[in-house]
Amino acid sequence: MPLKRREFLKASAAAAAAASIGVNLIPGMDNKLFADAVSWEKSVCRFCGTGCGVMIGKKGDKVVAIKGDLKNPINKGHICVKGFFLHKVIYAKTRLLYPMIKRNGKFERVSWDEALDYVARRFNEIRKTDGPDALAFYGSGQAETEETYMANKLFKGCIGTNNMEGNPRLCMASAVGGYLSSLGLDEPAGTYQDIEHAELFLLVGSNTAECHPIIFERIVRHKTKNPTVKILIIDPRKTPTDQVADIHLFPKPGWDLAVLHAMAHVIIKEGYADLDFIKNHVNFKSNDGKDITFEAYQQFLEDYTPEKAEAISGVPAGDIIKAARMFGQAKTAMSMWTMGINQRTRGVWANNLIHNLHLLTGKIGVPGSDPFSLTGQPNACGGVREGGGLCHLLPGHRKVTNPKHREEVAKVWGVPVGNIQPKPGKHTIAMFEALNEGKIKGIYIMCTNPAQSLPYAQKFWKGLKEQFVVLAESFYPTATSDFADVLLPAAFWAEKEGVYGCTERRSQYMPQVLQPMGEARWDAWILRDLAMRMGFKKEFEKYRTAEDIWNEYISLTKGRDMDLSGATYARLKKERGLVWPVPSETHPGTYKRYTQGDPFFDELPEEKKKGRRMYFYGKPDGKAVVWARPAKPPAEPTDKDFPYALTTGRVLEHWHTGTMTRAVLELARAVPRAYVEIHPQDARKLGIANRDTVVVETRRGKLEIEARVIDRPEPGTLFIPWHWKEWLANLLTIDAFDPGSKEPEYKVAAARIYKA
Amino acid sequence: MPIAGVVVVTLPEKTSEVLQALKRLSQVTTYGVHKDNNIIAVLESESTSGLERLSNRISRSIEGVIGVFPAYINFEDEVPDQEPYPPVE
Repeated sequence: MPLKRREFLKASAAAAAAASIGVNLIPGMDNKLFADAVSWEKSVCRFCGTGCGVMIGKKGDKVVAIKGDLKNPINKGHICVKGFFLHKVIYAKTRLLYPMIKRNGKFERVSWDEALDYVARRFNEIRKTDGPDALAFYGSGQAETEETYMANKLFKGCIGTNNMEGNPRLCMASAVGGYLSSLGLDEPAGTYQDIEHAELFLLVGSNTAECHPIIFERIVRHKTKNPTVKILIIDPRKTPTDQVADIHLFPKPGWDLAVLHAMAHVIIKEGYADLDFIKNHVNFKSNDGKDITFEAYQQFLEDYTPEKAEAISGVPAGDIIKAARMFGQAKTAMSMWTMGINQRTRGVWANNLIHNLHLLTGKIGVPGSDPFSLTGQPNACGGVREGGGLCHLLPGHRKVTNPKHREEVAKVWGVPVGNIQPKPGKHTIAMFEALNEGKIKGIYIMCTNPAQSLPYAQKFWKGLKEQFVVLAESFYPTATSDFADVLLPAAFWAEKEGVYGCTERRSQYMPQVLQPMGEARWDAWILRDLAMRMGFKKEFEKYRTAEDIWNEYISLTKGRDMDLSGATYARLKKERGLVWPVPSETHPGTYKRYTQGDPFFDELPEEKKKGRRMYFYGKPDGKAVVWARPAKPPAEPTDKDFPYALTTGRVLEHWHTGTMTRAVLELARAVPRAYVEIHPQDARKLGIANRDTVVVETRRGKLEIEARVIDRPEPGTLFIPWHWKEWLANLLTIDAFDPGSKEPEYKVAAARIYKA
Repeated sequence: MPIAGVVVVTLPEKTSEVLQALKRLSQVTTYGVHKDNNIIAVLESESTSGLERLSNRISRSIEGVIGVFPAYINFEDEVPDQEPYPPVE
C-alpha cells in the first residue's frame, strides 16, 4: 500500500475515532474523509442486543471496512472489539454454501429444488400421519423480524401448530415474565437515554463490561463526568465490570432473592420509600396473586432483615444496608440485569424483586430511573417478543389463548381462524423432550444451535438424532448440523435486508449490501418457498419483497402497546431506528412509557390520570405490582457430594456457541479453549494449580478442562464459559426451568472438581 | 495492513500514565487526550490478529485503561476474493 494512502487511512481512522467523542481532530478534512472508492451503508451490529449502529464500507463487491455509526444514538460511533471482525465472519471458511441432504450418514450436495421438495414432502407426510403438532419450529433472537414472521405464519397459521419457539426462551423469558407481572406489559419503560441521567446503577447478574461493552462505556463515561454517580453490583463473580464499582455484593449463586428483599426492607425502614408514588401507582400482592396491604408486605419483609439475608445469601448485612441506602438516597437509579437473573428457576421472581425496588422508591418513569433488562441477542425483542415467535404468542404482543387476537391475526394472514390453535404449544424444553419421546417427528431449526445451547444438552441429542431435523444455517459444521437430515444455506448479515429490534424498543433497518455467498438464500424466502411447496401458495406468494412482509407485520401492530405502524421502511432507511410506540408516520417515537409523552398515556381520560404521573395501562387499574415472592433456593443447591456452585457465561471475544466468533482465527486464537475458573483458596485446598487439567462433574455429566486459578469467582463457586463444542459446558448444566417463564437455570448447578 | 481508529477510555487519574504507555508502543500512534480521559489512537498491524492482540494488550496490561473502543477499522488488504462457486452436478 503506498505510504500516501496509508497516511490517509491513518488520518481517517483517527478522525473517525475523534468524531465518535465529538471532537473534530483535523479541521477542514471532514469532507474528504472516506471519500475514495469506499461506499458506506448504515446497518446494525450482528452480535448482542445493544443495537449498535455500524457503517459497512464496501469497495467493489467486497466489504473492506467497518466503522461505528456516529449518528446512531446508541453507540455514537463506537463499536466493541467484536466489530473488528464482523467482515471476517461474512467471509468465514465455515460458511454453508449449498443445500445438503444426509444420505447413508453423509451429507450430499443437492439443488434447492430437491432439498425443499424433500422437506415439504416429509413435513406433509408427518402432518398427515401424526397431525400438525408432530411438527415444530425452533428459531432465534438473531433472525430478522421478517424471517420470524414468515415462520410464525407458516407454522401457527398454515400448518396449524403452536409448537413454535425460539432461543430467547433460554435468555429473555424471565425478563418478559417479570415485566408482565410487575408492570403489566413486556419490555422496558425507559431507554438508554436514562443512562446519562442516572445517579446510581444497579447491575445485577450482568457482566456489562464484557457482554455489553458499549453500554458499559456509556455508564463509565457518565460516571467519569459525574464522579458522584455510584455503581452497585450484585453478582457471585468478580468481572471487568468491577473496575468502576463502588460496592459489590457477592451472593452465593441462586440465593440473591433474599438480598433484594433485604434491600427493600432497609429502604422502607429507613424512610427511602416514596409513599405518594406507592399510594397512587402500586398494588401489593402475595405470591399466590392475592391483594395484600403495604403493611402486610412490610410484615413479609421481616423475614428478610439484612441479618437474615446474610444467613441465606452469604452477603454481609452491613453491605446490604449500605447498598440499600445507596439506592434509596440516589435521586435516580437505573437497574440493569441479564442472564444471571433470567436463567434461573426463580427468574421471574428475581425480576419482580428488582422492579419492587423501583416501585417502592418511585424510581421509574422519570429521566435516569428505570428497571432496564439487557438483551443478549440482536433481535430477541423485535422478532421474537414483539413478533410473537414463542409458543404462546402471536405478532404484536398477542396471545394464542385470546380469541380476538387469533381472529385479528388470522384475518391479516388470510387463513381460517380455526387454523390457529387456542392452546399454547410446547415451550423449548418440552419441545425437545417431545422430540426425544417421538411425539414431535419433524423440526425446522433456523439460525440457532440447540445441540450445544440447550441445558443438559446431551439429554436432547436422542430426539435430534431420531427425528427429522431441518437446519437453516449460515455456518457448517455446528453441533446441531451433526444431527440434521437437511441443511439449508442461509444468507448472513449484510447479505439480506430486514429489521432488528434491540433492548430499548428501537427497531432499525439493515440493508443488503452483498450478494449471499454461494447458493445461500434469505431465510424468509426459504420459508416462503417451502410453504408454497407444502401447499400454501395462496398464503405466501403475495410476498415479493422484504418490505411486503414488514408492512403486513406493522399493520398487525397498529393500536397495540408496541405500535410500529409509523415505522415504515422509508422512515427506517433514513433514521437511526424508531423507539415504539410509533403510532403514525409523523410520530417521533417514545422515550418513556406509561407517562407523559407516551401516546397511550396521553390519550387516557383525565380522570384516570388524575393524581398520577404514571399509568400502567397493561394492568386493570393502571397500578404496577410489588410482589411478595418467597426467596426460593436454586433447583440444585450444593451439598456434600457436589459442594461447588457451577455457573456459566461468556467472554468478551466469543459469542454464544461460537459459530461466528470461532470462525474468526484471531478471536479463536485469543481465547482458544474453555477453562474453569476456581478461586485460589479452593484450588489450594484441592491441590489444583493454574492450568492443571481438572474434571468438573455434575449429576448429569463430566468435563475434562483446564483450570484457571483466579479470584474472579468467590470461594465455593466455579465458572465455565460455554462457547465451545469440544468443552461443552452444557453437558453439566441442569434442565430445571422456571415454572412461569420456562427458562432454564443455566446459572446454578451443583458440581465437584478434581484433578484429572 | 489493517488499521483501527480507537478511543482509549481511561480512569481520569491515570490518563497521562496511559498516554505515556501508549506512546511507547511502536504500533500505536496517539492523537492526544480529549474530553478529560479519552485518548485518540490509531493501531496498526500486519494482520487483524495482530490488531486484536494489540487491543487486548492495551486493555489488559496497561493499568488505568477502562476500555478500547474502535470507531473505524479498515482491512481491505485482508478481504479474500470469493472462490468461484462450482455448479450443482
